[in-house]
Amino acid sequence: MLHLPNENLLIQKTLFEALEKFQQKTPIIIDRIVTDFDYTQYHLTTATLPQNEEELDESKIILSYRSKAWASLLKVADNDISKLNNFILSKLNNKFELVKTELSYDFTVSVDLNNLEMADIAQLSLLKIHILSYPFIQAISEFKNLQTQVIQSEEEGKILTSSKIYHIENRPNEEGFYVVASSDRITVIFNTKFQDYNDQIFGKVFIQEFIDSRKRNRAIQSSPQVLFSTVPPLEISKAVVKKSADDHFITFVLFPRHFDNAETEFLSIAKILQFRNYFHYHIKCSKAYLHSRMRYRVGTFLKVLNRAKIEEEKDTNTKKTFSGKKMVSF
Amino acid sequence: MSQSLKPYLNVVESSLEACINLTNFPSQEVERHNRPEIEVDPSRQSAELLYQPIHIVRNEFEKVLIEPSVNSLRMSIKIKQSDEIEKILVHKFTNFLEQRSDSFAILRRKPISEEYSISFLITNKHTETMKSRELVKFIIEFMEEVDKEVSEMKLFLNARARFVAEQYLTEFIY
Repeated sequence: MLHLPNENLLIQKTLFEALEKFQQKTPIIIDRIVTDFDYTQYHLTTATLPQNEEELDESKIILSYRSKAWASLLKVADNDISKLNNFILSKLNNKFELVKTELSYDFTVSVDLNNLEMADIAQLSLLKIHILSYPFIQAISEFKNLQTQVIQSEEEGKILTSSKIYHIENRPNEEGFYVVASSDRITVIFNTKFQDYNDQIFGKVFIQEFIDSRKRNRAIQSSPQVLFSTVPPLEISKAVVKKSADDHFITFVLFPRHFDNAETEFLSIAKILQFRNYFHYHIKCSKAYLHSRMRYRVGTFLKVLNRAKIEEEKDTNTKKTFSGKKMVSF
Repeated sequence: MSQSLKPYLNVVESSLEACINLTNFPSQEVERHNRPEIEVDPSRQSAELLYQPIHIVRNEFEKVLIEPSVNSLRMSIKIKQSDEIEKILVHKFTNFLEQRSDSFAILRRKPISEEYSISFLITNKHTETMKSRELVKFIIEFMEEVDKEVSEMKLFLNARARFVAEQYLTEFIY
């Protein structure tokens, strides 16, 4: 598997199952916890009746979402939870109803099986991407403002950079990403850390290839520019509060062509959000491959060594007849 | 095999062949003990049991130390590691082998010091049950293959990284 899929397959499967059974008039009662990358957790349960909490309402499913990124998302939305909720609901085409947030979860919607379509299931399985796209959408609107400002000022070569730095921390140990808008680009900077020294070295090889492949391969020259440093890049240096020695900053420069219409905008955001997982996933894959390769190598070395063993001397004096009897010559 | 590696391996091979002349030798100090004399603490060891060690050095990254004794022979190899990736790969690989040293019989669980990547310990028991000529061949083949394997793994890692990066960035071409 080269690419990680954007959608959460388990949510898709669960909802599809529930919908299918519901349409066959044999509804199932579900209570499932589904996890995703970056410590994201979903909870899918069959809803209870509003009047009586003991009774189940089999036509509705409650979908709750929890992630470490929620706190920083709220900060981006100026601590206005309704702003954020409305944004997410609009991303889901306003088809779902916001209900009382489940205990220890951040966001809860109710899904009505009576008018659930396949397209809606697809949207729900992309919930994580929709939620995390909030700072990107903010940055894109800011980019548009800055761009018109520059055009109005009629000054050539002028570049305005937004003073707002959106910082999303979606993993422990201050791992996360920053989004900064300028009048000609949007910069996304990932702060990633490595589990151990080996991963760090492997990671460096991979990062180097990310930087170089764009220069080498003409076919992908219109992809975002990738930069790397171990100190915070200037754009975000004032936003990085805590610095540690194993910080690795990977910068993606998104150009206007990467978000000039709704479709490319979604694809770019989804892909960028997958970057950290994709990157670390392939480091692990390479390690696994090297491991199996070494295992094979050990086998061939053993064969060579076994050649050295002295075989037990065959008794040349005994011969066997066709029927299996031994014939011994003296 | 490169031309410059050949003479190095030839020297190692002939030195090993000269040293692998081992005989059964019960301990002089402890009754009914029979131990590889090379592994005994040298400060308490009688000098006549240990022979002159041989250093064979190709360059600062590659060298071999052969320590012969009356009933055992210890050989340590420093495998070429010119950068951090090779260092990791060699470390992983030798670790991997050492964990399987039970089936390798002549492999030592740890290299004799930090300086070396891997050590072999051949005792008279091994030369009695195995052909010593083939044992030397095994070690030479090992040295040859390890270098090749490490550089292949390194190339693989780079190729994979390149492919992964290109595939990721291709997704942004609309």
